[in-house]
Amino acid sequence: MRAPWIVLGLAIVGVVVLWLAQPDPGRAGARALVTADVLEAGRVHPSQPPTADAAWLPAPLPDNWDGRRPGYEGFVWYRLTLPALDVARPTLYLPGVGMNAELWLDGQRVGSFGRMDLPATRHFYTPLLFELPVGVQAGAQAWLLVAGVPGYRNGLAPVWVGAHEALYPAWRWRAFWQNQGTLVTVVLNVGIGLYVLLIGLRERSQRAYAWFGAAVIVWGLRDLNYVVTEPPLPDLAWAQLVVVGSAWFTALFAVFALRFSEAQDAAYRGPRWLPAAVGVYMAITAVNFLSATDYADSKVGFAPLATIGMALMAWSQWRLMHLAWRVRQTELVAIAATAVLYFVLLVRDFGIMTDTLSLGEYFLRQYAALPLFIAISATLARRYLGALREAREAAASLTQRVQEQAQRLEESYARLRAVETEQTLAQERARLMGDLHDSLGLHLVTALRQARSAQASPAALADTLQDCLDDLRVAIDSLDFRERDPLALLGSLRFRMAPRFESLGLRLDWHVDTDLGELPELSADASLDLLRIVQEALTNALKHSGAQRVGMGLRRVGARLVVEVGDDGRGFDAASASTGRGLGHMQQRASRLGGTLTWDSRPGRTVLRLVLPDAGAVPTR
Amino acid sequence: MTDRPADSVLLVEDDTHTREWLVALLHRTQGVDRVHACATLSAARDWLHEHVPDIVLTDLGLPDGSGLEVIRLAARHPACEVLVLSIFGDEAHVLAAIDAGATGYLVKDGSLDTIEDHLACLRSGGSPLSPSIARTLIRRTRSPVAPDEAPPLAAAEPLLSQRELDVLTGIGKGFSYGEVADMLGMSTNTVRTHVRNLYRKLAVNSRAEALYEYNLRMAQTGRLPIR
Repeated sequence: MRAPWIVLGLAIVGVVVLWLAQPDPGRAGARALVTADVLEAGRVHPSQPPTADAAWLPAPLPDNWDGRRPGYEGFVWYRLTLPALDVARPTLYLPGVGMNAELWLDGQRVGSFGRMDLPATRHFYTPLLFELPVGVQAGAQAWLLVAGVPGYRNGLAPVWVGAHEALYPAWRWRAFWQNQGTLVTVVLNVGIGLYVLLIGLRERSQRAYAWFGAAVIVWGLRDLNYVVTEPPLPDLAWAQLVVVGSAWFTALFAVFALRFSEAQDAAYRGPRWLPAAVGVYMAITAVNFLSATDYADSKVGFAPLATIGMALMAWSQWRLMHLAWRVRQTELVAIAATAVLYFVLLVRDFGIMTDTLSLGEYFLRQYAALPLFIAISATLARRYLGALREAREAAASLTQRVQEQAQRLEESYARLRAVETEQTLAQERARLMGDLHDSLGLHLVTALRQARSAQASPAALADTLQDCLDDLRVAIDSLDFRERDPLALLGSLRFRMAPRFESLGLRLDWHVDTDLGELPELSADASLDLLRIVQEALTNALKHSGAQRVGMGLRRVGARLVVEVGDDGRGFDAASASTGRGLGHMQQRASRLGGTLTWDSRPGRTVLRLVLPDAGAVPTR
Repeated sequence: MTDRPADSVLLVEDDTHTREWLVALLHRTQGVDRVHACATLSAARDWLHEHVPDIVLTDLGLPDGSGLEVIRLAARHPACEVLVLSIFGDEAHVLAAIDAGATGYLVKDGSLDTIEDHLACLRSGGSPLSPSIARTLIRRTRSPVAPDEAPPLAAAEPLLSQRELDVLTGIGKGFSYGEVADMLGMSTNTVRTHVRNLYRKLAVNSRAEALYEYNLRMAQTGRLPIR
């Protein structure tokens, strides 16, 4: 973690460089006037310079009104005796003058800044630069008319006179740091504050930052005091709001320090009463200061409330330091270090504000607050980025896990499919073997018996063997996975059987409905059952019926397919043993198919009818 | 076919009994002049290297290779009839043989006793077309979904005419040539002519695809594909 040290080093170098680069008008040949004659002019804006015999009183500069004339509100004349100014552009530089000033020379007003009528515009933190007429004599007198209100460090700091080029850089330097720079910190603070506040409000786990965001916004608005010269509110109300803003900042920051410590350090539990007490403090400060009716009234209660505020601030800083000590994270150490810096400069500024004799100093806490605020915001930013990275990594690992799961699932599906295929194959094999055993095997046994028997004719043997071949062909046909609709199956069967009929001089008619519609795809088992039923019916008609014509047909009745085998033979008796057994087997196969087998047999007309179930109910693969 | 010059026949069959039976049968057949019988692919290959038979009868499963090789060699000669010997006339093998260039098949069962009729029948119209083969052919003309190396059949010009398709459809439903002829209002001979043309067209046009399809089927039923 070298980055914080680099930042710290750069900051120190920057401060030193700024200090060294600060323009010094004394070295450039200008002179400081540290005494003046003073004349209080009352609450009415004078339109004429005072006469020389007025009650001028000598006074050292700085002349701070709070110290010299507490509660005074109105105008004060300062008379300065100018030294010899043998320069091209003699200039007067007022680093600290409040609130506003007019410059008179030889009884003439030669310049003014802002509105001089009461309430004067609030240029108490604005350095002024007046160019004097060329040829001002040594010992000439310049009058400065200063307008002011109590509580604003009004008065006049030592005045510089000299060449323009000696004074201008000093004026520009001070104007930049006091006015433009402060405005920059205001914008930065409000921006940071809004951003942090929104995140803190939206993100429950970072709620502590909401307090910080609110505090920083209040702080930034409060610092507008240095740059707003003509507030949109009554002067007093504005001044009191600024005071309340300081108090509220202190209060909100204390709650932040408490919540932040609790969030960072699991073992820490701050005082439970603190947030409520802080709320009370905020309410009291608001009521007390905003209810003030005049500047004198506004001082009431300031000291105790400010003391409480400083105590709260001290506690907050100590809290953050303690946290850094316990948790020892770089970012917490950075917060603690910047907090110390902030607090030191805050105390310094507080000392200046309460010093009623000095005037014209820089206030530093608006700058001192920036490192602290940036350090705190940086922790939030880092956490935010960390959370983003974690989310990204989590998403990536999630994607990977999902992929792995998908792959595992795919593998298990593949295994399942393999098992299923195996099972299907095993079932198919078992069915085929059973079928061959029952049909082909039986016929082969018959053929063997016929071959061994002396009585059996070669024709009968050939006939039995032909049965064997037919059985085998039908079994093979049932295995063709692309030929499993009833029309294809029966068409092939008809093709197989036709030569046997023809060789006996019989006709095998074949009737097919022209429009059969969508035909169901049967499973291998169902195909074989269908083929065996029809084959059996055809063989019976061929061998036993004595028929001249045998017909087979396939038609559609409603949603169902009807397969019929008919002949014009002598008919059969379903009660006879052998016929009964044959019909029984066919019935079995028909019920396996989910269909029904009926027959109608009388001499001259026998019809066997197989009604297949609806397409959806046929056992398919 | 007495008006034709006598035929020379090449028989390739590895089963000794069947071969001897067929040789005897062929010798008795009128119009068959010379019969050369081999038991292996290499012997058939050597013989075909020097002779051009009129008719080739070949089994598919030979001890040293596939009978399809014999069919391809023989099919180089346009005048040569190439017949496959099949036990059941089972469609997968017959189709592959047709695609290799066979013009028909003979079923090795009792019906071969009248081989003379069969040969005559082959001369006039090719082998009987089984419904299953007919349906396969219809499927093939309808679905040009073929592997990349095979040209789509129904693409530019339909392979089969409407009439031929009608014939195929009828046969596919299991009707005989006569019944198909009646239904379509043509003579049985015309049906035979259509069937013969079908064999020719298919043998010439769809070798690669058929082989692919055949091999696919072999693979699906767990058998070895033909190379």
